[in-house]
Amino acid sequence: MSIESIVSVRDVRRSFGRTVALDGIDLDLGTGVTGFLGPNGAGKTTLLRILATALAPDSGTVRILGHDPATADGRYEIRCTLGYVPQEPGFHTRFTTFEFVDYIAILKELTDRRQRHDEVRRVLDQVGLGTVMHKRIGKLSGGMRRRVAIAQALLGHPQLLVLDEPTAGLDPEQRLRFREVVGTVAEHHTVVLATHQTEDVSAMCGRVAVIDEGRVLYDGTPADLAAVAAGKVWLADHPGDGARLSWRTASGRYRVIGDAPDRAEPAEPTIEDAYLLLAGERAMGEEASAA
Amino acid sequence: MKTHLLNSSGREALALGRGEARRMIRNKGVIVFVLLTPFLIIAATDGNHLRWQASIELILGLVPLGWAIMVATNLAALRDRRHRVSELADTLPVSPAARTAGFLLGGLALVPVVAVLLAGALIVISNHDRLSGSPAIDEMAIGLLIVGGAAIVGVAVARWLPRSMFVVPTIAITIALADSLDKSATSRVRFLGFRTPSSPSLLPALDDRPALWHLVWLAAWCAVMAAVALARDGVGRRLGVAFVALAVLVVVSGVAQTATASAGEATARADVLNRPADHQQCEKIGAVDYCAYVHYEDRIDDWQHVISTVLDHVPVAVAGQLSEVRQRAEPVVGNALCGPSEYLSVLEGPVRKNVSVEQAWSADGQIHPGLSDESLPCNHAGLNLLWTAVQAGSWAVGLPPTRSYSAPPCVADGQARAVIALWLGNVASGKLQRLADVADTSDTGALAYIDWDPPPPWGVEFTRADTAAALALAAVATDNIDRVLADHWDELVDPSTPSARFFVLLGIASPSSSLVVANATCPTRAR
Repeated sequence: MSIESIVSVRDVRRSFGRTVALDGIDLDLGTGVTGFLGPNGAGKTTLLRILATALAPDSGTVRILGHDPATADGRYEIRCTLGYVPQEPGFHTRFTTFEFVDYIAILKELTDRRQRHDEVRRVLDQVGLGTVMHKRIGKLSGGMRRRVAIAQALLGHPQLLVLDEPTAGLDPEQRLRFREVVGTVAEHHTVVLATHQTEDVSAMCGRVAVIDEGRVLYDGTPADLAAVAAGKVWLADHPGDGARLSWRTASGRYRVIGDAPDRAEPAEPTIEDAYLLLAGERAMGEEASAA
Repeated sequence: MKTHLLNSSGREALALGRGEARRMIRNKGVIVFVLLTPFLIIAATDGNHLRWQASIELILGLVPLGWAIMVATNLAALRDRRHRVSELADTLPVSPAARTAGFLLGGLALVPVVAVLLAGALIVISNHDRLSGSPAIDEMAIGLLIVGGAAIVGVAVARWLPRSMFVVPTIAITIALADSLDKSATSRVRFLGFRTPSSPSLLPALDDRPALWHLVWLAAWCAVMAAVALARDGVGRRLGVAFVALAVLVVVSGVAQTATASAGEATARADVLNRPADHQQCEKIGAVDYCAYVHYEDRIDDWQHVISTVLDHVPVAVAGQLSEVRQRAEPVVGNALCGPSEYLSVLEGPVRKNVSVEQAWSADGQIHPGLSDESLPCNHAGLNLLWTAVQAGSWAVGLPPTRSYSAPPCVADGQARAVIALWLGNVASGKLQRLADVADTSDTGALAYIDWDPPPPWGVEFTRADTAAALALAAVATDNIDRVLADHWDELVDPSTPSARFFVLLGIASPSSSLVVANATCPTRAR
């Protein structure tokens, strides 16, 4: 499936009152995992909600799997092939894990009882919840609940998986397991996730988009994103005057992004460095414009 | 796009409904109310003496369960919202209308449970010795629709007013609506309520209850409320057509229920009182015809027992004169508020106009067992059959057994025959002491029945002194009294003979100095 035929976003704008959440987003997404990186309030969740048909844009066009979510028929077709984990997924806490996922499975039109129950067991096993499927959700830990949310999104082998901060609250082992699951899905389908975890992006995403203040600052591969910071990341004994960002590391030295301080050594740039650099540049640019 | 339920297969709605049904049946709050309901049904039917009446009144016992189900379905329909699952649910292909339909179907899960409860109640009612007649199964079926309707209303309110707090005013509105309609006891408007109490007339033949139309009425409203719930997600063509059809059904059933009786129907129903002989079944026991309205035939054995007990103590020549005992409505009956109501006032207007009080409550001097079971549930008096027994005693001694509609009871103060009538009534029923304990005393010394439901339908206003005298005779051997009665019957039933004379003949002291004839207004011979 070509990039254009899966998710196409053109000049999408969305505001909440006077707050502009999305300010002319253009994106084309294909098979594989795409990560949205950005600070809080950047517009990532708004964009994901639009892709999940939970929200309509004020303007612009969206096409998902060839369907237009602006029409009722289009929304229905998209929803039939969608798996979605909201940023703050709610749960029926009195339901057991199995009952909740079964409920969502019915809402995904899995009406054959036996097949549905098999599918529910499959996704619960996939996220490692097979042993607690008859435990009430109210008694599960936060990480386990997050896995329940992921499990329900996997029901029915969705062609488009929209995940809003899916790894928040997961322990390292579960995060690895999640990456494995997403990697499997992404072999043939499209996964879009928003995260603050740059290591997730490095580990899972073939593509990354940095979003800030409703705009796409960067759209490319994680390696290319890291390269944005090439020659601008340093290790030094002090931050220096030209640092845009710096922090003291566990070794006692400073990691500096920006101009090199005295006696600094160049460091291998990471996605996080590049992301921080991009976000910082935008903030400084706006300050300069305001001045 | 499956925007409307009627456009989709409904399989998702059925699957959701099954899940909701399981949750509803396992809901602890609902289970508590289900377990309470048999007791509430028993409480609702307490005081009824007809199976017909009990089958109508037991519906009241289902009302709290209906409220519980209304709350439960409301909370269930709001569950996604309350637990912040709405956003996720809104991105799933099953339409909100199908989800609403699932909640509606799930809410109906308790209807079979209620059917089981009603079946149990039917078995109890059918086998209860205290009750007579046959139950009205079509009236009991109303309970299914009340509970089902409550479930539907809970969902409809949740869909339009998505806050759980709104279910409380909804319950309050249903109470106010039902209460206001219940108060229209003689108007057919009362049938527009959810449940309609039985008429205080106590005669099924006079209570023209459009039970089947009422079932249609309630079913139509249930369907309307379900359509209202589904309409929250858009009104398609099919739903619109359904709305119109249901509106027509509501209007038709509403009109059919409240239509005033035609002149012919009113006359026919009034005839039940005017010409009881045409509407009663008679059973000949010995030389006496005992006649009762339909649903009351079981009472004949009780009447025969107390009346024959009375007659055993009077001369054979007197007893032999009794040829017929015919049931008759009491002129005053109890109402739903445990107060007295003129019998005519509890009849629907057109019927009331056609009742001839002279015919229906003639001063014929005969024994007329009433419609109430004489147990006076509101006063906890437990005077079972005292009314009929004292009537029989009055008949034997020549006092008017029952009062006519317009004339007040006559006075027989201090007459020996008054004491004898009460004694005979006490011998047959054993309840005179209980009456003396619970009755008040008027300024004139008569027994008073303030706010009784109803007061005794006797033709005589007995005094407390005469009652005390009759009770004093309990200490005297019955054989001695029988012998005195046999030897001095004509003298003792003479209106001029004071009760003091009776005690002289018995050879015992009078219990009171006031046992002299005074202000007597009763006729010499009532029959």
